[in-house]
Amino acid sequence: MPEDFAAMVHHGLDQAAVYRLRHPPEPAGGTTGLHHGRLAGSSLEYKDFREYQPGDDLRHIDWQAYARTDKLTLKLYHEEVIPHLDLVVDVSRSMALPVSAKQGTTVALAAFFAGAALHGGFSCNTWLAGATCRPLAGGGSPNTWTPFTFDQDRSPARALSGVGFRSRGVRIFISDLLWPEPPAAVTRELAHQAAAVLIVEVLATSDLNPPKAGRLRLLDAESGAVHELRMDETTRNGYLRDLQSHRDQWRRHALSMGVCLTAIEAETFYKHWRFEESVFHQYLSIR
Amino acid sequence: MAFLLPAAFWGLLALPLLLTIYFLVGRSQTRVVSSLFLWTRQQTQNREGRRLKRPQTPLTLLLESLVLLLLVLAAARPQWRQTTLVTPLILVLDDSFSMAAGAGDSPRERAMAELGRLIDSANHNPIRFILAGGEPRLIAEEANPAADLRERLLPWRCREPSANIAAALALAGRLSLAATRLVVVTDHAPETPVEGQALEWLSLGEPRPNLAIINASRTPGPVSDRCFVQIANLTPSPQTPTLTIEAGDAFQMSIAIDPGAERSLRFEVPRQVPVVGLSLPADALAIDNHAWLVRPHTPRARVRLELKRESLAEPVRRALAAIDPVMLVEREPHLLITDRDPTPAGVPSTWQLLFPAANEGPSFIGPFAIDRRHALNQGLSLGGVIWQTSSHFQSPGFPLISAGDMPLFSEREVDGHHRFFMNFVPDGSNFQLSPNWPVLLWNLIHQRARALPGLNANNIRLGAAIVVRTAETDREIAIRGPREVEEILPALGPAQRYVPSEPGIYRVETQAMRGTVAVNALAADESDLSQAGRGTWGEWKPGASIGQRDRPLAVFFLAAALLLLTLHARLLHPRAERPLS
Repeated sequence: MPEDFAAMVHHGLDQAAVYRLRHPPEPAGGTTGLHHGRLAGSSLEYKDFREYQPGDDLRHIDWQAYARTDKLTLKLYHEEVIPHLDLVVDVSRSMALPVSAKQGTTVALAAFFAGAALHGGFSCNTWLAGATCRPLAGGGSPNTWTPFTFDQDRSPARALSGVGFRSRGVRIFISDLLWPEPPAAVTRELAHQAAAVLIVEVLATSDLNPPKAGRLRLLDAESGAVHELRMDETTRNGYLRDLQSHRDQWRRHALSMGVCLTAIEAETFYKHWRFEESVFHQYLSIR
Repeated sequence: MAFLLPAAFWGLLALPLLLTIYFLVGRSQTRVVSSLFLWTRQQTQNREGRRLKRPQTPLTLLLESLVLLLLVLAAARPQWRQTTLVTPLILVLDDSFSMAAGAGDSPRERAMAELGRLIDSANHNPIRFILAGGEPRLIAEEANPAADLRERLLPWRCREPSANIAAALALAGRLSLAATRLVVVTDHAPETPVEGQALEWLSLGEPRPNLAIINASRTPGPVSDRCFVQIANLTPSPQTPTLTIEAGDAFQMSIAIDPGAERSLRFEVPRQVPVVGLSLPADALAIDNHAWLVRPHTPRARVRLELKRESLAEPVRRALAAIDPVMLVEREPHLLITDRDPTPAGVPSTWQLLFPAANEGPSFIGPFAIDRRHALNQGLSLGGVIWQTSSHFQSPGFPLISAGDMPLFSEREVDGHHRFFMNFVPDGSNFQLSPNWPVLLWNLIHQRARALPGLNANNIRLGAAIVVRTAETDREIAIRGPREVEEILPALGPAQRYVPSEPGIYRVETQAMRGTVAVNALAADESDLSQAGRGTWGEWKPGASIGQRDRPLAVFFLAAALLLLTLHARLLHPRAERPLS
């Protein structure tokens, strides 16, 4: 597992070399939208407005609307209803769990999806979510990403509210989903006016298979809180049962929201790079 | 519940050690986890309670603590005291050598069979055995299972020359509890009726013919030693046994003895023969068919004379010449006879017989006061004796012979110096002309000789003690008996006693001396088997008393510990858990 950010990105891009992201057949929410062209183009006909966001093309700002409302608004032209990926990466500290492959797998996955998106003619915005959600500087291509660290001391349970993802775009959320807040806060924001949502649950082997016995001093990776317990069969079984229950809860909620949720074990995935069949068929195709 | 080995409870000190290992050595491992919210749920659920509370301390620690406790309890030999109705039993066993008559069918062997049945006939507890020999002796406090009865009664060897059953019964009386059953096991009928005495008398003997050596002695002579042996015909018919005498060479003689009569023999053996062996043909009782006679040995006293006056020296020399164990020497004497003035300081190993240097003094014709208890005065009779004293001589110490208030012959022992003061002037006396003069000197010489390291007697009867006189430098006494087993005794005083347990030749050795003792079973009453018989006298009326029987419980604690250890092993090696997918 390389510790170097560039190496992790490179690993992901290598895996994405033969793949391209594709628009799922049914957009999210059941709305019929325009077909997304494969190539970017310009058209004088615009179809929609949206709020300006840093990084948008200044040429498409509706200055008249600005003069009227003092708000920067962007004209959405036909060519902007092209495939777009909002890639949200959980950068809380739990995603860089020590002695695990979570960090490397997360960075590589992010680079993979960004690379596949570019291969599929998608535009891509990458977001870093933790206590807040902010866009990643450096553009859509992973090669130009500014290296980011997993240093947020809070999970992104409530950080996605009001972010303003591109309508009718594909949204991919990479996280371990390990927080006590209900899934609705995240899934609702992700699914709102999205063409498709994919949540990739990344868990470390140690998350899935805790030790069997011993006195343990557990340190929360994000908050730094400490909890001491003596591991025995009862405690371990209880943790595994509750973990499964927590994951089942996410699945049920994702299903009800039309969100696709796939789970990977970081150490195994980084080595073999195998997605579930449903994910592969829905979101990826071979170039 | 009682514990026979409470010292085992020190093993509980291992329990805090075990807890220390668990709580100190087994420290927490720090692990970083993605989130604590799933972990804290586990402790919360436990605190809120379930139907079965799970302890914080692991079950394995609890099991190990219990196993340790059970092992300590088992090691402490727990006993469950059960109150039962029991009958105390005391068995008085005749330990005299007539109980061994008949070899495999002896009264002792018959008694071994009977004792097992007797002990099992009721719930007897405790069971005590008293051996009735010359002195009663308590052995084997308890003998519960009959199987180890033979081993418990190994000290019952039936070699005593007599059985003092009355003394044994007196000891039994002191040991008796309420409702104690008292049984005497012997080979003859009781001499007095036992009915009404709460006593059972069990005789397992059988009249048997027996020829026995009942007396033997050896007297040393100047050229040869005279031996005396007495043989008894304890059979109902005339007998002509062949007596074998081994004195260098062996020779035999046939002796005709009437039934119930005794025959005495005297014969001489060369003085050089150290041990004379006597034996009769084998019969019902073997122990009295053999005897040995060792040449008696008295150490020679080394005497030195320092007498100026010839009138005294001449009678002294004449008397000494007639006394056997005397050796006149110039150096290192055992006895110094002197009339020196002042008296010499001397050494503790040299006794002194002191006479006055001056002549003048009153004479006495009696009556003389003689201390008859003293060994030096044995055989003295001073009738007609004229005894002149010296006015310039003091006789300090304990007076042995006095005339009025005038001590004539006294003894004094101070700081190990043994002195005899004889205020005697021969010029005006006739004492030295009487037989008393050599008698007195003989007594003195013999007392001195008997104080030298050696043996009091070289031929003793079974039951008597070998008395060994030791020197001050002796620390140990080595005694080797007829089985060639050496025993080492500490030399604790000037005379040490050792009681042999069987007849034969015993060799005694110290740093200062070496000697031989013959021990002979010479007891006519014991050799007479004609009065032996079978029968029971007296009756036991069962009347149980409450007693306690201890049942060992250690096996139960061990079984419980084994069960817990099995559970412990299963907890440590459970079936492999599959993580939930």
